[in-house]
Amino acid sequence: MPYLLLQIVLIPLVAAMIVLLVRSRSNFLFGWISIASLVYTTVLMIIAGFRVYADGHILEQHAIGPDVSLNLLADGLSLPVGLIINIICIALASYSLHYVEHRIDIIYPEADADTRNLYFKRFFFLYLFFPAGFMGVAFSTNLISIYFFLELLTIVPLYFIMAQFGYSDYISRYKVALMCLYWGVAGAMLFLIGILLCFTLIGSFEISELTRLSGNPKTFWIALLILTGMATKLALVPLHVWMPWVHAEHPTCIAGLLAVYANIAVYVIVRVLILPLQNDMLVFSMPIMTLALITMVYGALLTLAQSDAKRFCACSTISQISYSVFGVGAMTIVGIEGGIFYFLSHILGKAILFSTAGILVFTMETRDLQKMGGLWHKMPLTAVLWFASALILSALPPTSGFVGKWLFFTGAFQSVQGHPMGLVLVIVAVLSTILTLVYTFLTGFRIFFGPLKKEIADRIPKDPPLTMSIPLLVLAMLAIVLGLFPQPVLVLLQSVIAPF
Amino acid sequence: MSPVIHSFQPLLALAFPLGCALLVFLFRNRPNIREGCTLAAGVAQFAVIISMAPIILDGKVIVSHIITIAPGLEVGYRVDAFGLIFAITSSFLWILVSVYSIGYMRALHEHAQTRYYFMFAIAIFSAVSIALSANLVTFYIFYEALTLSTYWLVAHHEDQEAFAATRKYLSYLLVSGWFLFAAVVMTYALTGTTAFTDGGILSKDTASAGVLILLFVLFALGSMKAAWMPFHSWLPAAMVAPTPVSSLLHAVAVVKAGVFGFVRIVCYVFGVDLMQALGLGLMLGTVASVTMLVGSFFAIGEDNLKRRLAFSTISQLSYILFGAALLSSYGVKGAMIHIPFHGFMKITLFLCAGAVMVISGKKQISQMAGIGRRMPITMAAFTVGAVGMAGAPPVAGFISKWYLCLGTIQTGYLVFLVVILVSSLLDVIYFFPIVKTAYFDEPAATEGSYGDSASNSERGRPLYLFMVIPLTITAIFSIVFCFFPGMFYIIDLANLAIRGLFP
Repeated sequence: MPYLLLQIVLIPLVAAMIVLLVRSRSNFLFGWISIASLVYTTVLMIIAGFRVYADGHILEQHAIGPDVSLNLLADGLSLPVGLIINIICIALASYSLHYVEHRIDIIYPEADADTRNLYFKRFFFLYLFFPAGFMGVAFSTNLISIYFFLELLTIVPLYFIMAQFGYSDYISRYKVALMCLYWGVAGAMLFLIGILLCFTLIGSFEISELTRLSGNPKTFWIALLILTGMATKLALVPLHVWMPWVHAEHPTCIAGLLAVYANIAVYVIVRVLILPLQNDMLVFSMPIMTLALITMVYGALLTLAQSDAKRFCACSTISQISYSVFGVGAMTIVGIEGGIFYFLSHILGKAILFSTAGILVFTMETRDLQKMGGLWHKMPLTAVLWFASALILSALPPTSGFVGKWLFFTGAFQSVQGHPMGLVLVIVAVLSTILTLVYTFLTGFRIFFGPLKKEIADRIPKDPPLTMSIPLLVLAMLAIVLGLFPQPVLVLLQSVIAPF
Repeated sequence: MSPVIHSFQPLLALAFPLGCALLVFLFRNRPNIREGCTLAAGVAQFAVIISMAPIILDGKVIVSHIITIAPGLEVGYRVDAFGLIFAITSSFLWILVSVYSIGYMRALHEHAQTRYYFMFAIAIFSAVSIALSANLVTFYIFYEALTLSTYWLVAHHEDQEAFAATRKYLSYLLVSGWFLFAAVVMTYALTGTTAFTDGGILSKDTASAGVLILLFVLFALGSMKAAWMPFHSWLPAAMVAPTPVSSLLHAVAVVKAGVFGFVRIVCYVFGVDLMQALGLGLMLGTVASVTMLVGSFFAIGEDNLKRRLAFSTISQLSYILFGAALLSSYGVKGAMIHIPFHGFMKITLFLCAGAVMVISGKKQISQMAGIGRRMPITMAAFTVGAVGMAGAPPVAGFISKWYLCLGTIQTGYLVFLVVILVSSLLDVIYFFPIVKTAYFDEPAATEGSYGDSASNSERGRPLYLFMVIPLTITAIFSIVFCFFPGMFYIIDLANLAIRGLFP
């Protein structure tokens, strides 16, 4: 198959154009077009996966300008990341079908059929920029194209979808969308300054050339700039301010993707900094781990204090992302492997958790968790989904989270051998992960057990349409399969990380 | 190294409780078939487990590997002598507790009986898995499974009190599980393996002494299931559960898994030599001694029979930790055989307490005056248990206490000998008044408080036989073990385990 990787990145954009041009009375058609295109790219990625198993990697070179290129590389690191993200994109596209309808009903109640049709079209047009951006970030080997895709993600889908389909009233929706935009652009800007500085030293934007920076005294500052930029995306304390706001304003159907958007920065850090510049990065190991620990605890405590379904998930994201940052910060082979694996596990779990919260909002038409209770008998499937995601996020066996947690803590312990303070740090980190268990299960019990609350009883809550729940169940199954048989993915990750 | 046999026997043994859970669920509307499944599974499981004993005594080790999830994350079973002792105890007592449950749950018309039997089977599955686990990872996974499955049993009544108690139960045990996880990961990071080995997997060269002591503290905090002080208060709180559950918690599964795990960690992860070199034996011995004594003092002050038994358990569990802490062959042997012996005696006591509660409705000791005349068999069994707890012949407790005393002398810490003797004395102080009240005190002025109807005597209803017979059997076994400690191969297995640990 020619241009395998280029297709993976560009097909969603082509599909977006098709969505824009097609005229149809059927609102859902736009969604189905998006899903079809994503299924196609997933199949391509699986084909690419077999080739990567056989040959180690696929490199496609597409020069654009003198130093800028759209070179795409599929290797053991980028492929699993891309594949899982793409599957999540499919699931959430299917989930969006009904959810967007619900949003449009609420925000634009006066709209006639044609206008509603237009909104659907707009949503899925914008939605397809997500997979394109993610695949671009995952597969690009050129720093400028990574920067481009990061900005693409921030500006096109995030800003516009939030501004048009978000919560609250018109004004605050735009305000929060702008806030997200500023933070995103600021982070990307730091990244850009870092890579331009780097260009002045080595004269290239290719990641493979970055090893030449090794040992250069300026590398520290470049790394610091890029790390700070990425920390904004990752919402590490104290750069986490935007996250609860932005997550709360989103239409829930893309909130899962926002978690990916934030967490993919971990992948960028590994790709751009840690793998090429291992020795120069070791200085950052302790600070990153400390910061991650603080964020883990702070995020979890923040989550415990929430009563709003969406802010709850948002704060949980702050805490969860730091798990993978912690693993990557350990900078040992197992630690990085675990960090990346946990990143995959987290986005799976978070996509389910967010979407389940979305289902609750969808059926209850309230975001206040305190008004919910006793829903087990009314919405069994939703309850199963919630607890599945709780299992994944609190990293209990047999889910992928457990494997990730096991690996990155092993790595962390290995990296701190001989440092008493570091040892204590890691132990505290292990213990702090129990907070996730507390907030996910406690909230789950409050929502689904106990007596049915009066205010909601007259709504006759019931499980959502199957296009919303089935994709999420598939994601949960995927997380469990990854939890029992992670070896294929681990072998791939190892093939890239282990030479380090 | 012992020759290794790869066999499906451990998996078969574990398939029974798991299959039983499924059948219980399927037959949820047919109580008789449902309970029949539980009993059949219990008998079958015990048969498979006991059939492994001759192979083990032959000097072999049975291994069945299930899955390697990721590097270090291996799940598998490995049957050795020590694990088999615990497995035999748990699986045998499960049969009796199941019989007893039928009487207890039906007499009280408890709700959600299907959930009860389902979770019971899962709890037994987890407990036996813990007993047979090959490495710390398997151990950890089933340790958490045990916590979660017993949660539903403790919360059975679903009232305010039950939920308050389970909150405490979960807070302690889950936090403890996280400590254990930290310890397991750290062990793996230090040594690259988590498999239990005779003589331990850690050594002085693994890391600095400080790190190893820190690791031990993590393991100890991870073993809060062993209810050592000051982390014991979840156990008396969990007494809100139905009595068969309490006996499961105390004799068969939860706290037993805690002490079993602790002995595993002391002997098979750290190893006796390393413990000695780090001075950890003394540390653990001190904690255990304090728990033994203070637990007994708390027991003296309790009027509620079940709570008194709970504090007695706290004290008795520390005998096992204490034995392990002595780090001598006799001490460890005493610890190992105290696991089954204490199980049999404590279950007798709990079953008696439950029977008294169901048949006469009494929960407080002060109300039990003269009950021995109403329920002679039950109180006779209770007396057997009480004598055993105090470590007097002719009950099994005597044997284990004998070895523990020998262990203290072998180690040379005579102060520990004093501790153990004082503790037995305290056992007498809090148990014998119950016996005295039951037999010799006149019932309070209103004789009618027991009612005259036949249903208030232990043979009043056929259903009560389901309670009286199991407790009689456990009481008889408690005595038989004193004369034939080789029954169910227990003493032989313990000897074999000791030969492995102290070559």
